[in-house]
Amino acid sequence: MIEEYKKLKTKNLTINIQADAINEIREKMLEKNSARIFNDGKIFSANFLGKIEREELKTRALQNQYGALDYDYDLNSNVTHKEDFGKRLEDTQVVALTKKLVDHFKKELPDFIYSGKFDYEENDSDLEVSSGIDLKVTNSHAGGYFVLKRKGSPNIMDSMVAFGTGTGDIDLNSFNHFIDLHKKFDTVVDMEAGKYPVIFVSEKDFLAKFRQSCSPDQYHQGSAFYSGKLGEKIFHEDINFNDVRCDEKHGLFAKYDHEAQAVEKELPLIKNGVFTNIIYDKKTAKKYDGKLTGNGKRDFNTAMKPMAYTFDFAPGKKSYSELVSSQDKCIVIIMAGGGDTTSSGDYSSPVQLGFFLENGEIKGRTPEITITGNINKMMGEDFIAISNDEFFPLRSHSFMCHMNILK
Amino acid sequence: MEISKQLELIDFSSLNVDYADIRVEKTDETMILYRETDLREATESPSLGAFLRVLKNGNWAFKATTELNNLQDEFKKLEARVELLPEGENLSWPKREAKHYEVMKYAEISCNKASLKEKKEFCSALIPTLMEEEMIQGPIVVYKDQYKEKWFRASDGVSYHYDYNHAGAYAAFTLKDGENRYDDSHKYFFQNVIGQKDKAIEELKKTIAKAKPFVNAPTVEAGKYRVVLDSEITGIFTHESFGHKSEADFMLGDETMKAEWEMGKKVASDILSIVDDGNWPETSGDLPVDDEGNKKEKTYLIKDGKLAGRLHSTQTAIMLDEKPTGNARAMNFQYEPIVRMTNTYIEKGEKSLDQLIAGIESGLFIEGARHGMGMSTFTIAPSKAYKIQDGKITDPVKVSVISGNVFETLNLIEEVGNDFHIASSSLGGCGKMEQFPLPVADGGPSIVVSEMTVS
Repeated sequence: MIEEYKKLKTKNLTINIQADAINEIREKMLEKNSARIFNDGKIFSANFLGKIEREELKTRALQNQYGALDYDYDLNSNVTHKEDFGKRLEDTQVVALTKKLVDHFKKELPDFIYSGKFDYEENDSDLEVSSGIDLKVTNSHAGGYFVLKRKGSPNIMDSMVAFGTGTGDIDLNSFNHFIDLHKKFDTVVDMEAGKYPVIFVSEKDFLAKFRQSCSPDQYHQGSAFYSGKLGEKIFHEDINFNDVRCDEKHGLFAKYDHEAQAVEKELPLIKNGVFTNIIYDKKTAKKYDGKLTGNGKRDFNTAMKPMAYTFDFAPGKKSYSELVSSQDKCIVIIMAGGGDTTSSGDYSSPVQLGFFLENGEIKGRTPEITITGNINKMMGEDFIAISNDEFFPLRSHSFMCHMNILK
Repeated sequence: MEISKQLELIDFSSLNVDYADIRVEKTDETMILYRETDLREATESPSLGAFLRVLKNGNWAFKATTELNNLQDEFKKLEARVELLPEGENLSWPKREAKHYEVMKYAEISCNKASLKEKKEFCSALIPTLMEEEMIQGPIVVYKDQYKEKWFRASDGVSYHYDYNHAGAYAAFTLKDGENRYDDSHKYFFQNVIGQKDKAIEELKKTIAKAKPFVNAPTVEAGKYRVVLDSEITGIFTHESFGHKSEADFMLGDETMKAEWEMGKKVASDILSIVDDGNWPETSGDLPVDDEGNKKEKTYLIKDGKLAGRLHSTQTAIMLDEKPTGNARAMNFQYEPIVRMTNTYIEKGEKSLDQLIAGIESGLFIEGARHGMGMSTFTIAPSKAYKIQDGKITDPVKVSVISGNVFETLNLIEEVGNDFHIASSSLGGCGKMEQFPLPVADGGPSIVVSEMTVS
């Protein structure tokens, strides 16, 4: 019988901004405990949100006969690691950093009303397994978002900016592109329907079908869009796409997964357009005869499952500025929320907020438009480039391709 | 010690604050996942936690904790913590009548009445139906339930104790024929699994049969169409298009908006009335009293096409000089209440769905929703769409999203049917900022919209 105990203590200090006012502060202190008992091919588990003695947790796990799951894979053993990541912040520093960000945006873009959150989190995690595993990791990171509403606008929100850091500070210059675009928010350009270069600077929900295809169950059971395509060139040769595990600047700190499997900083999923890897935990790697990738993850109250860390394109050769300047006409997508892709790969989304540029010069905000394209073409013959820099202080490189614009 | 007794021991009068309250939540949740015949998850998660709030000089300090033994000390710490914030605008808490709400109605029918074994048996009973169909690849069955008991006590004498319950599941699958595929699912909602199995299997068989023609269906030609939305889509449309716009927190700090959103202003077709009402037992939007102790009332957002109300927390009501509507809700004990919906729906009309379709020469019938989102442009990803030709439903087509400008579309609603339904879910819910998923329900009848972008 092998006993596994996991304890996660988290402390969050969250500052709420409501209509420009920094008027709410929230502290959250939680202790999350779980036990998994491996015995005779079965995993017996129990969890508790709050303090609990190990013996009590073990008793509950062993009594949980109907919640037992099968396992047939080898468990790791003799892994000891201790690490501390991130910059610790005092409560007063968190409030000061929030104020610095709010003041900057209010000064640069005074016609907007700001709401949102700045959240600082400290994690103290401890994984002990009787097979000789002892992983103790502490980390801290901060991040958040501001929702922007143009004064007088009938909309719930008109724009959004997100940020994250593992270093305890955020360079205000990293918002310059965002601010420059929004200075032209009130100018709505008149544009024709047709085909245009489009650059996605943050969310990329057109990747949903590919993300789903990286799940081993969906891939191997044939229900994924790219099932059976591993090893094949499916995208343009300049496309490289990774599962990013460790990037301290952006608050990503994984060196081991939750099964105590050491992980590389990045796992290539697409390499020069070729579908190279999907992700596995121990169970699915054994089931589908796949190569273990260190993607076994679980919350304190869930079973282990293969989960990605942070998907991102590998940086390309040109910056965001160079990319938008290289096109006669171009649309920058800040928010394209609510889009979807049919089971034939046809992607469509309304543009909630976009800007129209000519030769890199910002002309104004796009009218209400819808973008459409087939995902194979967007990442194939219609692909243009990936940026070598990030538009927001977040781990996310911009993606540019040709798309159809409907009015 | 009993939780209600523990709350009674808190001495609010010793705190130098304008207002304080505490909410305690005791929750039991179950999650089960089958991938094909493989059980991947069968977890029961109990939790007990508290959320404390103090208001002083216009600023709030909150604390979420699982440690319930030092609540008085935690309030004292919050009294100091609130001073960290910059000086705010003064916010005077309204005078409320001291009152206790006791609304315990789910204990006898809760999801806890079924054992984990019975819940697993419900899920595994659906698997053979999915596995027997040759075209189906990678089916999953997910089950989720929640029974929650909540206690609340505020410094102004308001308190409550009520419970909430839901259970449900979905069976999702991909139908594949060569390179063509179609993703679909069947959703279930009930209070507990006891006696649900046979009916659930029959419903799943019908869903699979209905999905098959979509595998080789063509993708719709993108453009503007006259559409009939079924009651599920109507519900999502109502929630996403106008429900979120009625949440009063989005109006704070904008004087122009107060004038723009004056009550009585015409904002929709005359036939349209939209309501938010927590008083629908056994729906996922059931809410007798909100998370700061205000009774949830039936709130008309639009009545006969005119702006009739908006959704408030106490704070937004004070700031906009209106009355709280009982819509301050938190996802769980870890979060502060913010303005949220409950059951949001369009009131029904006179015509049947068949009569609505019979009146359409050319258009689309949109049925079932996968997800939706509401900003300046609302968007809904439907699960099924059919052409309507000469008043009859004809061929299936694949659609990724339907979308439109919220205010334009509200004025383009031509007909409202009589086939009223409110859709609940135990698996999803509403997301607002960091709080997702909050249980809500939405619905209405089928409606006809004269023009909507379909792509």
